[in-house]
Amino acid sequence: MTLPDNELAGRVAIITGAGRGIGLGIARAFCAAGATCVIAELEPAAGEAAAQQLQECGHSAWAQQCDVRSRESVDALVEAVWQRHGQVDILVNNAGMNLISPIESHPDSDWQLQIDVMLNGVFICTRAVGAVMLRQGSGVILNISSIAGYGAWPLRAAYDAAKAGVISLTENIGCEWARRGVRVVSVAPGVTRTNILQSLVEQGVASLDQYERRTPMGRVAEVEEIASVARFLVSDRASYITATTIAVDGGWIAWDGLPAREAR
Amino acid sequence: MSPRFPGQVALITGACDELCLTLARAFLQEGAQVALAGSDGRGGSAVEAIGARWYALDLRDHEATKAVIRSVVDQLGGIDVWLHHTSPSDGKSVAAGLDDISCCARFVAGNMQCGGNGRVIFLASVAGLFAPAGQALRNSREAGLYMLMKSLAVDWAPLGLRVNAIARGVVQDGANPPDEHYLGRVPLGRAARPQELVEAALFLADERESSFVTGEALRVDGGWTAYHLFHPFDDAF
Repeated sequence: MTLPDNELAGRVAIITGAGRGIGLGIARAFCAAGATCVIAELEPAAGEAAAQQLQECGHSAWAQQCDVRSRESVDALVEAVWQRHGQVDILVNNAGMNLISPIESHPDSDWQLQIDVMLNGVFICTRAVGAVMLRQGSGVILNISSIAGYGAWPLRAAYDAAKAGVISLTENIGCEWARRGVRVVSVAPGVTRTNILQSLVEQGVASLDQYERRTPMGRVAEVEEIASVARFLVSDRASYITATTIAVDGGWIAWDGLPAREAR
Repeated sequence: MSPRFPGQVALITGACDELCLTLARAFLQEGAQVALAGSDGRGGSAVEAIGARWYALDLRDHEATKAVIRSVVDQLGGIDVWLHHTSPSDGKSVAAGLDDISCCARFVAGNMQCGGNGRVIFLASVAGLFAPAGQALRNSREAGLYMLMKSLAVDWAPLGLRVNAIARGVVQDGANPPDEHYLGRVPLGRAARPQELVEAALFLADERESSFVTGEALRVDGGWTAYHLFHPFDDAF
């Protein structure tokens, strides 16, 4: 009953984009619960640094360069994990970015990149890792979506569309694989204190103050608060949860954003 | 491994069924004191037998509700977690309405504010997310509970209270076999074990695990809600 310190012991997790931010936070949480984490990262230096950081804390982790847009790259990753561990228990589709501009001037390349990484990449990784999980008859796929996938956040059309797609894929594949031992779930973070947020604030296109005011809880999420929900969802404690997304947003999507009448 | 809710007080209201007792046992094992308040007279001895406190309560009587909440606070020292549990077996005549639950919520919140770390969980049904046929009133009641949950989450977030719901699908009941009529619609192909709902409740109550989750209905339904639109196109299974 008590929260087991080691509930992911013996599990092997692949986490895409885990060189920093939410992905790295999730890797930390999974490692702390006993899992071995494979840091799948586009930038080799960031991946190695993350793996080293985890190893220095006594955790089991290693990095492999991976471009989620490329089937060959993803197949090579899955093959490497299989050779080393003979199992893959958890996949976290986390890799992402957020390029902001008005739709009428949104460059083809920005649109394509975001859809490729955050939607096609989820499909490519899920298909490749899912094949192993279906063979094993067990596994959990956790997709990092976003509250942006629930509605219109102007200037972020590609990001919103990709994340809405991820929420849909979670339901679809979750249903398809439900009776074959593979759960598919998603976490939709609200605004979270990450390097992406930092860079948007520095570019002047995001205001931390505004985000805090828009969130009923009055603050943004810390990475650890997303990671703790991720840990719950991939654990056996969530064995009846599949094909669904949980928002971790401090109440953002529940609220219409206006103060109560008497306070206006 | 240490208990997750040492020294905390969990109040459970609503239907006093087997699931409710399982929830009470779980919070007790995690170090909490548990008060169970319901209108089912048979519940009292069973509740006290597991080491929880029993309070007779009919939520439709608002003055009595206020008095019971006061007693719980006086006797146990406060309320950290309030879990309200609806049951499919709630008859129309005994079911608490939204105004009753909202009234209880106000009393509970009034006693949670001092700590600024209260958690409210409504254990509701997927029947409030789409419309199973032939049970309009129940569907409406459950749907209303989700909106009450969201509204309270928004209103009380500044006070430091988190309010969430669990949307449960078919649950195994020791006494009765699962309803095949519904089971065929659940992608996982089985009913939930009571423990699987308990784990979701503990997760939502645990401030180390779900500290940024509020206003959310966590579906513990084996994929039922996702699939209901396209049942019975089940060739994938």
